[in-house]
Amino acid sequence: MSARLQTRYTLIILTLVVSLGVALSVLLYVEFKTSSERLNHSANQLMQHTLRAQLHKQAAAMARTLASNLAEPLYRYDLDTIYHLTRGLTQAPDVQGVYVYDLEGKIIHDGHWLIPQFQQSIVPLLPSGAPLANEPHVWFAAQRLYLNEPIYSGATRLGGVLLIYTLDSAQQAADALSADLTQQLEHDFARNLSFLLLTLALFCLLALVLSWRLARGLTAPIQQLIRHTRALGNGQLAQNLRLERQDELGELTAALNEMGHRLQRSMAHIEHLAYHDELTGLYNRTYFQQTLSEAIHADPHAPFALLYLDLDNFKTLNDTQGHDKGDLLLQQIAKDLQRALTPTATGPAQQRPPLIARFGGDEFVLALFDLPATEHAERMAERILHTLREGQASELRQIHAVRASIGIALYPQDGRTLSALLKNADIALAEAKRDGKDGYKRITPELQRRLTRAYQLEQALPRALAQNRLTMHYQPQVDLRSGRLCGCEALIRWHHETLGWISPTEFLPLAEASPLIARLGNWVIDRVCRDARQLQPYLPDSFRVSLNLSGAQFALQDVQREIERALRRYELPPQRLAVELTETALLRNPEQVCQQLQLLQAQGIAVWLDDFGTGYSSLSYLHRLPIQGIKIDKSFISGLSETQQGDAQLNWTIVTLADTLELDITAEGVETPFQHQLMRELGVHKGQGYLYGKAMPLDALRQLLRDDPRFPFQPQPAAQAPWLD
Amino acid sequence: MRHPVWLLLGLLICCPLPALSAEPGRAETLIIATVSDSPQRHYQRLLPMVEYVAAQLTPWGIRQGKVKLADNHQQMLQWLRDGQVDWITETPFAATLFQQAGAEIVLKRDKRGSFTYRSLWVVRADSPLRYLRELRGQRVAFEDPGSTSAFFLPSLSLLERGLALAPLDQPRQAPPADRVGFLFSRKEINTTLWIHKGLVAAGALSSNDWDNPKRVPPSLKPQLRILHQSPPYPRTLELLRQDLAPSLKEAIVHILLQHTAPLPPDILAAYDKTTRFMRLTPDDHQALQHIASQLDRLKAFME
Repeated sequence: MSARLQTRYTLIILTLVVSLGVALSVLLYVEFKTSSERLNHSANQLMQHTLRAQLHKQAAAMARTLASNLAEPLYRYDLDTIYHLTRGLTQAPDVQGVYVYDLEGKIIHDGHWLIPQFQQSIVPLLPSGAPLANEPHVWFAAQRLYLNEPIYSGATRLGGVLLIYTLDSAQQAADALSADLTQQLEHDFARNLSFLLLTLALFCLLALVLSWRLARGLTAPIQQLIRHTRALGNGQLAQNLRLERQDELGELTAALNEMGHRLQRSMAHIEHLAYHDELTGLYNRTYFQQTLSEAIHADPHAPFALLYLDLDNFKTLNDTQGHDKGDLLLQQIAKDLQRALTPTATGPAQQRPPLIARFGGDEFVLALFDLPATEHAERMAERILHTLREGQASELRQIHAVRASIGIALYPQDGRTLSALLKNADIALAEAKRDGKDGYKRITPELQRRLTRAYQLEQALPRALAQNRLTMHYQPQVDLRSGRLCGCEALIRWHHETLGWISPTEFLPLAEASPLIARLGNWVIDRVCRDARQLQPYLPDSFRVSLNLSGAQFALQDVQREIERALRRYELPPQRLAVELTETALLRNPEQVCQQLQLLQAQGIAVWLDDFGTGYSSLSYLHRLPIQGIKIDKSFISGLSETQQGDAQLNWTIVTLADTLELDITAEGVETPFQHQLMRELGVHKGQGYLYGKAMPLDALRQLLRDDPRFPFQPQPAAQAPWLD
Repeated sequence: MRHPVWLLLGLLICCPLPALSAEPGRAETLIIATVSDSPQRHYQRLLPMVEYVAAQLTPWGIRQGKVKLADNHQQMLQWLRDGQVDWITETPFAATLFQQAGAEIVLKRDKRGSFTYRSLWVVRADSPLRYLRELRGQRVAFEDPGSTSAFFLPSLSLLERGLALAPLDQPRQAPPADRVGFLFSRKEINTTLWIHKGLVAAGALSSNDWDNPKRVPPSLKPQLRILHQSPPYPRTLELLRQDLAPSLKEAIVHILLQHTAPLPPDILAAYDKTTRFMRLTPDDHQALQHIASQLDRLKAFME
């Protein structure tokens, strides 16, 4: 761009100079031509004039001499003498004729031996109007010089002699001179032209150099400015362009420098913003990831530990005490973390300072370098937790000490990329939290695998729900007194396209941990009601289809209303339906759940407490619950045999308790006739277990209902029921 | 007779002189002479011959040869009378004149092989003239007053016919009606041109001139015509002083006739392009006698 500008400047100046030179040359040439022609003409004229004058002079002298010599021969008509006197003249190159004539103007001699023009009149030979006077006469006419000289003998005139000179040779001489002159002039001109052209070429060269320099002087600073501007654009803001100029370019330079400084300041600010957490002043996620990625790239074999730290129950604190307090707490924690990881605290072994970043919310991530072993990372985690517990942040919290959980992942064994490391540390963190918080956990392969599977299922579950890959199976329940079918438990089944049958104990917790549980719950309600409606014709009196409700379900939706809608949708009597929920489900939000359960019960739906005996149940609590019965967990049943009756006592206690609270009892996991008999004897109302049938598809249940068998009888082989656990 | 006395006296005085002086005396010198209007030319023409002949004449006491050139006939006649010349070479008219003054014509010689010539009257070919007598009242041209062929003989032919001659100044001058006006053209070519240009009615030329293209240009010749021609005359004659010793005269004639020794060719050639000398024939003598007979008439005319 500026090179083109320079070229353009150069071209313009060069064009001007060349044009001027060419114009000058043309002018000089034209002037030379004109003046040389003029000079030539003048020289020609002068030459002719000179030659004429010379000729005239010579001829006049000749004529006088001749006339004097001719007097005697003319008088005597001595033609031979006249001939010899005139012959030399006749043969002279410029003489066209010599005529001697008498007083009558008759030619006596014409210069030729035999005088062919003898006695002819001289008059036609003279220029028109020329007199044959007594005086000498000279005429110039038609390229001729005429000299008429009278011949006297004493005082007597005898006649005259006429000399006619041709001026052709004078003309030729003048022309030759002109030609010479022209040639010389042209030669000179050619030489001058060469000199001129050489000078012109030198001028052009000079002009080229000067214009180049001029343009360069103009464009060089512009080029510098362009380079400087590009450097600014490339982020080299610290550079200062020094251009010692006082003109506009100097001002532009100063302005650019000023702009560079301002950009530098704002860039520094932006950079700080980009790489730091505004609240705590720690590094942010971007900086952390970038720096660590670079570190891995720089030295792929250098080990380090990644600590993923998350405050326990920070959300609660935020909600209860306000965000200002929360922010203050985070700032304090940041300081505590820095304090915990000061070099004195970490020991001399650690050479590279740790990297502490806040990833957002209450998540902090730390990178600890040069740790010799896993234990060191764990020790560091322990120290961090200790510092937090004892630190200033704890004082702020007032109620409890600050607790945090830490997930640890080590490079390179726990992940070779930063994202893998972060994911694994996060997993470890989640595991630490599940383990009861205020602790740390290092990622293990098993954990990794499990969580990977959990993650996989979590991702696949909504799709399975949408694609109807979930089915409901039903496990029959038997009235222990009559031995007839009296109900069934709806159990959800998932057949994964690649993983095969997935246990509900595996995927239901995943669903419960997400809002998906609401959709799943609704789907179960809808499906169970529809199936029950289909079974309606085969159902004995008081036969109930029971479905499991999750505590999480209650937190997310109005379960009672969903059930009500489903019943209405399929016109199913509430008396055909029972709901089961675990003690833990009740614990979550007891008030609300109880209210819902009461409404369900009021409708005629039976409510059962599932897995009774495994959870945290207080008897007083049990008393207040709006439940119709309890289901004794199969762990109490499965150990019972003819030889081992240890738990029978416990079962008896439960039955007694239920009786006292007027609750129905169902025994789960009844697998042997002995167990059947024992439960029957204990007064348990219903039994459920492989002895009566595993969970089966709807059609199988329908068939079973048609068959209306009497229990106990020999159980079906497990191999024939592929859908079972 | 005075002459021998003087000669003897001269001899008497001069004889011992050669012994005393380097300069030979008159008697020891052979002098050749001619009338000349061009002395230098004639001197160079005559000197080698006279020196050669003189060298042959030592037995006669001749020690040197000399050339004397006369301006005119009168001077030559005087020299003859005074005995100042020994040998004269001349044309017939002058020879006749000098013969009468005491010179003896001994030999004739040729010029370019020609021993004789004629005198011609030439007119324009278209001229009405048929006879010389018709020239009365006309202008005629002679060449030179000393010329035998172009003055003496032609004028003699006019005079013999009873024509009177009147000299004219120049060609434009009208001739007297009863005479023949004559002019000297000075050069044969002038004569030819004058005839051709009509300046004169007729012109006198020798037969040699007529045959000379420089005098009668061949281009003009067809336009000219010979009106009259004379009998032949010897061209050039050698005369010796009559009172020279007869043996000396004989010796000179013998030398010229190459009786003892041939003349050197270069000397002969130098001597007016002569090839040889001869004795006169009877015809020559007759022609010369005719001239001599008319000499008085001519003298009268010339005076």
